[in-house]
Amino acid sequence: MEKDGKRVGKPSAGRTAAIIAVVYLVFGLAWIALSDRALLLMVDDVTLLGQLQTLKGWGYVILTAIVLFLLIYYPLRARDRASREACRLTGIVERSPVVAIEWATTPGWPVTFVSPNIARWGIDRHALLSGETNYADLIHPEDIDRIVTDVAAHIDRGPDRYTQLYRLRSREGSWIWLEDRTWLTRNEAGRVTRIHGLLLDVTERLRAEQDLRDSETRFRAIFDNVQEAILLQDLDTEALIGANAAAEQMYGYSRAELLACSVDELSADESGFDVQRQKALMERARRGEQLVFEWRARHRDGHGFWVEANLQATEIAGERLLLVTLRNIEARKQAEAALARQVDRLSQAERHAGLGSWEYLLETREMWWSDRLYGLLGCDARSGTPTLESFARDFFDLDSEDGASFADAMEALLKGGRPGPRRLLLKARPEVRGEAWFSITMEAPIERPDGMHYVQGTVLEVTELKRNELELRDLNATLEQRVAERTAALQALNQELESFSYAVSHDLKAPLRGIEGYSQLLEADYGEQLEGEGRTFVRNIRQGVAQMNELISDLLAYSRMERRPLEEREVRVRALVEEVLESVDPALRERAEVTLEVDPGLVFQSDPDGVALILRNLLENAFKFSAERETPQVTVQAQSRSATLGISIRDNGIGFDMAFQDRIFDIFQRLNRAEAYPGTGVGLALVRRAVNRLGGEIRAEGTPGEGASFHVEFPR
Amino acid sequence: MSNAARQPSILVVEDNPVDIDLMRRAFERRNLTNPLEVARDGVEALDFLERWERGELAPPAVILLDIKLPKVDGLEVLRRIREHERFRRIPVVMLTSSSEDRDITTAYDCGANSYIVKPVDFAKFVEVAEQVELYWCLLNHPPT
Repeated sequence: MEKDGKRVGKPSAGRTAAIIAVVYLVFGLAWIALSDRALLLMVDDVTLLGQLQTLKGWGYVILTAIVLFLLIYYPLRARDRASREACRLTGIVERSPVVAIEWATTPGWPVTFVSPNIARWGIDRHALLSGETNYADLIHPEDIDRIVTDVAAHIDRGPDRYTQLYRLRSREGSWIWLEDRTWLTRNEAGRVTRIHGLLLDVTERLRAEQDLRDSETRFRAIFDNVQEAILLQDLDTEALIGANAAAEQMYGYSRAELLACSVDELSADESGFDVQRQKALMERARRGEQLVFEWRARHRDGHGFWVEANLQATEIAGERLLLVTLRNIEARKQAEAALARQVDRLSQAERHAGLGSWEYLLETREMWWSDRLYGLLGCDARSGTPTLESFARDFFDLDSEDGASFADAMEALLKGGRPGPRRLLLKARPEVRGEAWFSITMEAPIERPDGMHYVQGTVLEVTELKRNELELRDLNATLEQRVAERTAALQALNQELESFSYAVSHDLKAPLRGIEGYSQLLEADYGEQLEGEGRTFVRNIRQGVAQMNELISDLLAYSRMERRPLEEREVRVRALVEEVLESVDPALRERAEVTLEVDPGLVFQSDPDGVALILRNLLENAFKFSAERETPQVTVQAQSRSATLGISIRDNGIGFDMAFQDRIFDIFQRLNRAEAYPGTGVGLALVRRAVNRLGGEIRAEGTPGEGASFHVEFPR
Repeated sequence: MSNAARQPSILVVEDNPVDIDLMRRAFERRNLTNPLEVARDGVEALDFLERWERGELAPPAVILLDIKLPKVDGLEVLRRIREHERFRRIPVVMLTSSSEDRDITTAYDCGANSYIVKPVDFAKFVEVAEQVELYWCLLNHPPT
């Protein structure tokens, strides 16, 4: 007998009633059959029998009532209990998230039972039970085929317990995820008679799981994508148990290789980064200290690099771990080193140049001074950087030179304005430095990459310059006066020179005229009375006078050269040469063969009289010194060059020794005896002077016995 | 003598006695017919102006004037002559050692009629004397 099945499971009302009826029937029949006989056996008296008969009737009723009470009471009590239990179960099911359901195995698997709490999903229980709603229609179209196939497979081949996951349309048409735990009931033949299911809404759980997965993916992505390398170390075993992609990249190991490395293998093999220090640092981290320090790490290929390490002990999922965050600061270190070198150089340069510099950050109102600036302004760097207010008011004499402009610019800066660039000259306040002047520059504010604005400037000591400038100013003031004095003196001198040449022309020539005149008179009037030698003497006197006269004339021309005003006109070279040739004493040039290699169109700007004087002297020289030749040849050439015009006069005369090529232009310098080639020795000196005066150059070339050539270059 | 009295004179203003002597001889060489009068400095030359004015002497046909003179220089004498009311038209020939451009232009600016540089060569000097006399005393028509 199945205890629960018979007593509680199938307490059929009909059966209970039948039992009561049978018991009552048996009891009633037994009473009727037995009670009268027993009474007759015990009592014979009819009266008494009649009386007892009535009592027996009452006794029957009482006994029947008792039997009926007992017969009805117990089943009813059991039923009550079962009913209460069922009520309690129903209540539990009602409140349970699990929905119980039963399907028949007939085609379409109609629902034969479903717990009322299916209403929580907004599904009409009665519609389901009555077949009005088909359960399969509620399943998500994407899931239905899978479910049907699955169930069919289980019915065919088992196993009889399985779990399915699918979506079901709920109220408002939204989908809920169901976990369907199903078991199949089979009869003796193995045929499935019933399909039972327990449905649980797992939408929330799935979402939470998905969220967790997403979250984990995100964290993984972050873990692998942060630029910092992250290592996780088990604090107890000191083994690495985690590393991100950046760590792989940084050290050059794969993740698996990395996790097999010890901390020492990842540290540079350099003094100061040894195992002891590693242990000491880890110990501190273990005690809960958060450490940030710079460390030399070692790459797989052995090279060392700087990292900034951040160590922090942490507990993850119950494990004590050391979280190590590493940032490669090699570039920063190099930049820092380069910057340090740069700063060092800058400060050296500033020291050498006596230049101090400053910077002011508008937003934070911070001021920075270079080391040199402290020195220049007699300040101690250790007592902190002066503020802009102090810079503006305490160091410079605002009444000196550009003081007002400086004060304006500083005032604007202090009020947050943006003054334009300036270059100012200021004197230091006497208490800052003695007599000291400074050139101060400031640029217009510049925007930094971080959006802040700064002003840069320099301070250069210019005391010496300023002193010189003042001296120069004094000097300039007297200079004009001195120039005027000198000019007057020069004018006086010039005047003197002029009257000197005037005197020469008059007073030197007058006695000559006397000597010449009387010699000639002597020769003419008393010639016959003179003896042979006497005539020679008179002739020699007259010759000397002629020479003296020539000399005086040349000297006058020479001295006049400087005083002659220059006039710039167009000089037609060929025409001028021809004109000069015409003016040369015919006796001098008649035998000579003159070749002109001068383009008739050749012109240049110069002083025609000056050029003519030069040409005349050179030509006369050429004729004079080639006169002894069988065929004296004189060639004049002129060539136009980019900036100059060159004229050459060449002869085939006696030439000269190149050793004298410079002295040939000196005044009174004669290379030949006077008897052979009379002359004063002034001609070439005069030529050189004239050439110089016109801004040109002259040079001479010669070979003794072969000829000489003179080249003049005039500016065009 | 009567012939000589009719001939207008030549006034030589010259301080150098050698030059005066040579000039005299040069004119003599050419058989000078015009009398030669000599002023030894600028002041003496200006005295002649007064003497002409007073009628003591007749004005010359030409004045040969040196530039460099004691007391008052030749250019100043020239200026004074040119300022003179009656005698400003008398031809003046500068006869001087100077060949300075400045002297030449100043002389012409002051009204010189001619400018001759004294030659050192006596033969040339004689030639100059002849030319001067020929031109200024015979060919030239003096102002009346």
